Amino acid sequence: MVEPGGEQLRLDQMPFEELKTLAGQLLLPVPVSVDRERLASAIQLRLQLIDRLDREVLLSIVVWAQHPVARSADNRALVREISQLKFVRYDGLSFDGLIALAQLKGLNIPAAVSEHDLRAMLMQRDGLGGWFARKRRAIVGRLLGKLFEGANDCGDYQFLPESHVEASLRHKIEQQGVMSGIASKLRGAADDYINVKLDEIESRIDKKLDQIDRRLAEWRDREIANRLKIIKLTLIGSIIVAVISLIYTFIVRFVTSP
Amino acid sequence: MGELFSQLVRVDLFFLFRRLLVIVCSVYAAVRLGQSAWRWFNYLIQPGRSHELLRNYLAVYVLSIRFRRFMKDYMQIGALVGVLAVMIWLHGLVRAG
Repeated sequence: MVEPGGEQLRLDQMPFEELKTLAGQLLLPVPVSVDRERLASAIQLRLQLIDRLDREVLLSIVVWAQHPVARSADNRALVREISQLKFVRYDGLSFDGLIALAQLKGLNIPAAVSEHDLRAMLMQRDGLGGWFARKRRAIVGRLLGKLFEGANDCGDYQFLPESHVEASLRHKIEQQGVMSGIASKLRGAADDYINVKLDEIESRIDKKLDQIDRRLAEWRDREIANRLKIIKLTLIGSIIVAVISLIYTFIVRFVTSP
Repeated sequence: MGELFSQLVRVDLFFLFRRLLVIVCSVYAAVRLGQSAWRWFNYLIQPGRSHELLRNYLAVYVLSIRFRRFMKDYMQIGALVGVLAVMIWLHGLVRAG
């Protein structure tokens, strides 16, 4: 199996955890009791299925889901994006898209099937939990959308920019002449250096932001735990008073006034 | 006047204490909760980029709470509420006698 960058995907050498992650990215269910060999062979079959699927159909699913992706993304990158779609409403998705999604989700598709049937099958596969998740997300999305976006409608879908390939020095000299070609190449090298440095700075900032996020999440969880503890203590206090009151009522009712 | 005094003497002090405790605690908790909610509301409703950012950030943090993490606490609270409900039911049973 060959990865997009021409790199060989060696399933037999991959750690088990990585295989599980890969299976998740390929929309492959991973049972708890699955062993390594069985999972690797299931992934192999799934990769073959993905390679057989029409790229344009997969691209249409990602565009329908409004997930950011480059126009030239290959099948596997597209499926990785599709794997993030959980408990969605399938309205507006094309017939071919529904078929591809059903295949990826491992559904048995009958010969004569309508769009409506496909949607019903996909929703049925999501189960009752999926139904609740869809409803919950619809309500929360509507509320937060009104709160933060107002009446703003989302614009047209835009693909991610493609990564361009830098021309060689020889090509540049041929195109622009010696001095201009060398200057252009040097400028390109300087730009590359600055880009690398900017990427480094960006990754440092990202790490710092992640750290802040983690700390804030820990603080939030601690606060919630404290509030729950207060609720528990209040309830325990109420129960103690209730027990004393019960004993008192019993004594008043049956002992002091028989 | 004499009748009122005799009625006051007949008042059960424990029941009076219990009723007052419920009223005072409920009013105190409601007032504190209302004050806190009002302060947060007034702070977050303010216009401006920083407040808008804070609103969005808070919304993200609230939505990313993992409720399963506190499942043990929820179950304990549920059990305590159950015990309290049984206690209240037993009160009714004893009074009906």
